[in-house]
Amino acid sequence: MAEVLRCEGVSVRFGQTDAVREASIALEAGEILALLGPSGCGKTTLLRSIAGFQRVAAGEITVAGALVESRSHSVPAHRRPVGMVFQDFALFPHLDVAANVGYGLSRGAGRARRVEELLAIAGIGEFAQRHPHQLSAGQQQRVAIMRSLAPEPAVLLLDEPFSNLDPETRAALRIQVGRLLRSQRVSAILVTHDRADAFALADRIAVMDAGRILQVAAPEAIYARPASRRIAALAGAVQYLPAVARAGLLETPLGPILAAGPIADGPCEALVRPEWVTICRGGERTGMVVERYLEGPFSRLVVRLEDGSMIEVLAPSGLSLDPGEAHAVRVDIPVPAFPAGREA
Amino acid sequence: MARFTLGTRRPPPALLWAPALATVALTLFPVYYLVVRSTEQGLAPWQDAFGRLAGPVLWDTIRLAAAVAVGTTAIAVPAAWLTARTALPARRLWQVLLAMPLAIPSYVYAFAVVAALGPKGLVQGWLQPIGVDRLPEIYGFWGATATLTAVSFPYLYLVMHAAFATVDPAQEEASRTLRRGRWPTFWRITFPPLRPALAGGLLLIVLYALSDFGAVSTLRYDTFTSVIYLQYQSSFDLTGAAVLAMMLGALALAVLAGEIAVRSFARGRAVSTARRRPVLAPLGGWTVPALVYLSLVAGLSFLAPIGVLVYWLSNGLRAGIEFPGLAEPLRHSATLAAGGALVTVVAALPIAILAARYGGWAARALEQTAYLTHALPGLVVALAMVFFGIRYARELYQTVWIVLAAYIVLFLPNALSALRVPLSRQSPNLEDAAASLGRRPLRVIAGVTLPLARPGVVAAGALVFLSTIKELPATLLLAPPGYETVPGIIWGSANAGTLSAAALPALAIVGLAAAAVAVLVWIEGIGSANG
Repeated sequence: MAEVLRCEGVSVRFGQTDAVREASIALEAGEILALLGPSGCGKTTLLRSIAGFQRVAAGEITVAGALVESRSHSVPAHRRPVGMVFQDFALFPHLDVAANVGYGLSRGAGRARRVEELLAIAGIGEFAQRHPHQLSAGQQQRVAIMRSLAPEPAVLLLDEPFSNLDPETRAALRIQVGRLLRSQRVSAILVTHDRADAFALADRIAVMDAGRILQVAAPEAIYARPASRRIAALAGAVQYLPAVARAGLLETPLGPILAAGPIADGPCEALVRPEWVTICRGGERTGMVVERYLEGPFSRLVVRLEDGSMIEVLAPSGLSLDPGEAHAVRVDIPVPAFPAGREA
Repeated sequence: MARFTLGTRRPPPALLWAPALATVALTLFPVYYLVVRSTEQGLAPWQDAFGRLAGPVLWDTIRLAAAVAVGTTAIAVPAAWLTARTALPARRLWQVLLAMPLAIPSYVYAFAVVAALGPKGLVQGWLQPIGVDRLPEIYGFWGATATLTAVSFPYLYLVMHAAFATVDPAQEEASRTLRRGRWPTFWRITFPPLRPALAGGLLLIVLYALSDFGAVSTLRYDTFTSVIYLQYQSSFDLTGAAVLAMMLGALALAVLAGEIAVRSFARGRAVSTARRRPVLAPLGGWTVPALVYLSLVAGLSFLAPIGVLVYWLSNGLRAGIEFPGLAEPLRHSATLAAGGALVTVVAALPIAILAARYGGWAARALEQTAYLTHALPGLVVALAMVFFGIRYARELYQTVWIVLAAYIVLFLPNALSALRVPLSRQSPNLEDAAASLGRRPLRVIAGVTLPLARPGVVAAGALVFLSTIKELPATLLLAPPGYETVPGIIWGSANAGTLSAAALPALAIVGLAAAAVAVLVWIEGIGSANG
C-alpha cells in the first residue's frame, strides 16, 4: 500500500509550552488512523499542522509524497490536498447544502453532477436546497464530510466529528461514517478523546498524551496489550492486582494468569480489566460478592477475594449473582503486567 | 475536546490590515492635533481656562450628568422590567414605543420644550385666559435635565431590557422554592447580577450628557460644550477652545475607562444565559397603574414633542408665515447621513473582520483604539477637524468630505459594535474550512466572511444613519458655507425664536430618524448594537 501522509518528528510550540513534541506518524492509502488522547494533549494541534493552519517548530510533514510543512517551508492550506471536517462542522450558513458541497470544486459543467453524486452517496440528495440550520446534526455532519471529500483530497482530517452529537446519534453515526469512509476508500486521520470513536472506526490508533505519541497499534492491541499504564488507562477501565512473575506466568490472588507479553521475573502488577474476569456459580468459591450495580445487560460487581483485596467484575446480569454469595472467580485470558511500584 | 484559541490562528491577509490601520489613524489624528493645538501656547491658556471657566462649568456639567443619570434610572429600570418580565398587555408595542425617543435629536426636544413651556409657548397660551402670566423658568438646569433624560433614557432602557431578558428563570424559581416571596427574590436574586449592566448603561448616559451640545445650548445651560462653542464662535479663540475641548475629552475618557472597568469586572461574573424564556410575572391589579406609567413615559418622551411640533406647524400655516425652502437642505442632510453611513460601515468592516474573525493581540488593540473615540463629544471632534482642516487639509476644509471624515471618527464605534455581533456568532472555523477546500485568502473573504457580515452591515448602516441624521455640532461647524442642512435650519430658527419656521424641518428630521429606528427595531439589532 502506498503511503499518503507522513509526519516526522513534528513539534509545535506555543510560546513557552510544547503542544506537540516530536510526533511521528504515517498513514497508508485507505487507512483510518485515530489520534486518541485527553483534552489538551496536542492532537488537534497536530491535525491543524497537517491541514496548514499551524506552523511547526521542528519536523516535516509530507502529503502524497510532497513536503508541505517544515520549519522553513510551508505550503498554504488552500494548496494542500488535505480535507478537514471540523468539530462544529463549519458549514457556511449563507449557502445551501449543494453550494456547501460544491464550494471546493472548480466551476464547470462537472460540478453540479459531482455534487449530486456526492449527496446521493451520503443519502442526503433530498436536502440539496436546504440551508445548514434546517438540518439535524447528523445530516450536517454528512454535508461536512461530503464537502471535504468533494475536491478528492489525498487525506481527510476529522476533528472530533462526533463530539457535538448526543450519545445515541453518536453510536449510530460512528457506524454510518465508518461505512461511508471505507466505501470511498478514504485515507483519514480521526482526532478524538472518546475511545469508543477510535475503537469503532480506526484501523490503527495513535495514543497521544502531553504532546507525545505514546503508542501506535491496532485497536485490539492498544486495549489488550497497552505499552504503559498511562495508555492502559486511556484505552479503558483499569484495575491492578499484585502479582509475582515467573517464566511468563503471573501468580495473583486470582490464581495463576498467563502474561500477555514478556515480563521480567519478580514482583509486578497485573492489569485486570473488569470484563476480563470470569465469575460463575459453583466450583471452587474464591470470591464473595459485596456490592452489585445493574447496568442493563451487564452488572458491575465488587468482589472480595480470599486475601481480602477487592476487584470489580463485569458479569452478564442474567447470572443473578447476589451480594453475600461466594462464587468461582478466575481470569482465562493473558493479561499485561507492569513492574511494581513504578509509574511506567 | 480541543477548543481553538483565536491566538493560534493563521495571520489574516495584509489586505485587511492596510485599510484598518488607515481608518484608526484617521480617528486618532484629529485628537492628536487637538493635543498639539492646545499645548502650543504653553501653559497660559490652560491657566486662563482653569481660572475663569473650568470651575463653575465643570461643576455644572457634572451636576447635569448626575441628575440625568438619576432620572434615566428611575424611568428605564422599571420600564425595562415591565416590558421584559411581566405579562404586560401589548408588550412588543411598548418595547417599540420606548425605543422611539431615539429618533428625537436632543436639540429638537429642547426646541419642543421651549415651544411648549417657554414664554409665549403653548401652555402659556392655554393658561393666559385664567390669568397665569408666568410659568416656572424652563431655561437652565431643570429644563436641560428633563430634556436629556427624555432623549437618552432609551439607551439605558435597551441595555436593561436585554439584561432582564437573560436572567435564568431557574434561579428565581429556586429562590421561590426556598420560601422567598417575589419582592425579596427580585432584590436578592434577579437584580444583583444586573448591576454591571446598569453601571455600563449609566456610563453611556453620562457620556451622552457630557457630549450633548444642542439641548444645553437651546436651554441656555452652560456646560463644557456650550462654553466651548461660544469661545469658538465669538472670540475665534481657537487655542482657548482647544484647551476646553481637551478638558472635556479627558473627562469623557475617564468615564470610558470606568465603563471598560465595569465591563471587564462583569465578564468575570457573567449573567447566566437563560436556557428558557423567563416566566412572565402576572401584574394583576397593577396592570392599570403600569399602563398609565408607561403611557406617561412614552407620551412625554415621544408623543408630546411631536404634538408640540405639529401644533406650531399648523399655527404657522394658519398665520401664513413664510417657510424656508426645505427640499434642498433635506436632500443635503439625507445625502450626508447616507454617505456617512456608507463610508463609516466600509471603514469599520476591515477592523471588525480582523477583530471578530482573526483575533490576536494586534487586532484587539486596533479595535480597542477605535472604540476610544466613542467617548469624544461631537463638538470636540468637530473642533479637532476644523483645526486639522485649516492647517493641513485646506482643500478638504469646508467640503462635505471633512464632514464625512468627522462622521467616521464619531460613529465608527457604533458600526463596529453592530458588525461584531453577527461576525462573532458564526463558527471560527469557516475561513479555515474554505482554505482547506482550496480557496485563496481573498476569495475566502469575499465568499465566506463578507456574507457573514451582511446582517450586521444593515444594522450598522441604520445605526450610523440614525446617529448622523441627529448629529448637530459637527454638521454645524464643518458643513461647507451655503450648504444648508436641516439641523442647521432648525438651529438657526430656534435661535432666532421663530418657532413655527423650525417645526417643519424638525418633524422632517424626526421622520427620517424614526425610519432608521424602525429598521433597527425590525432587525432586532438595536439591543446589541447601541452604544
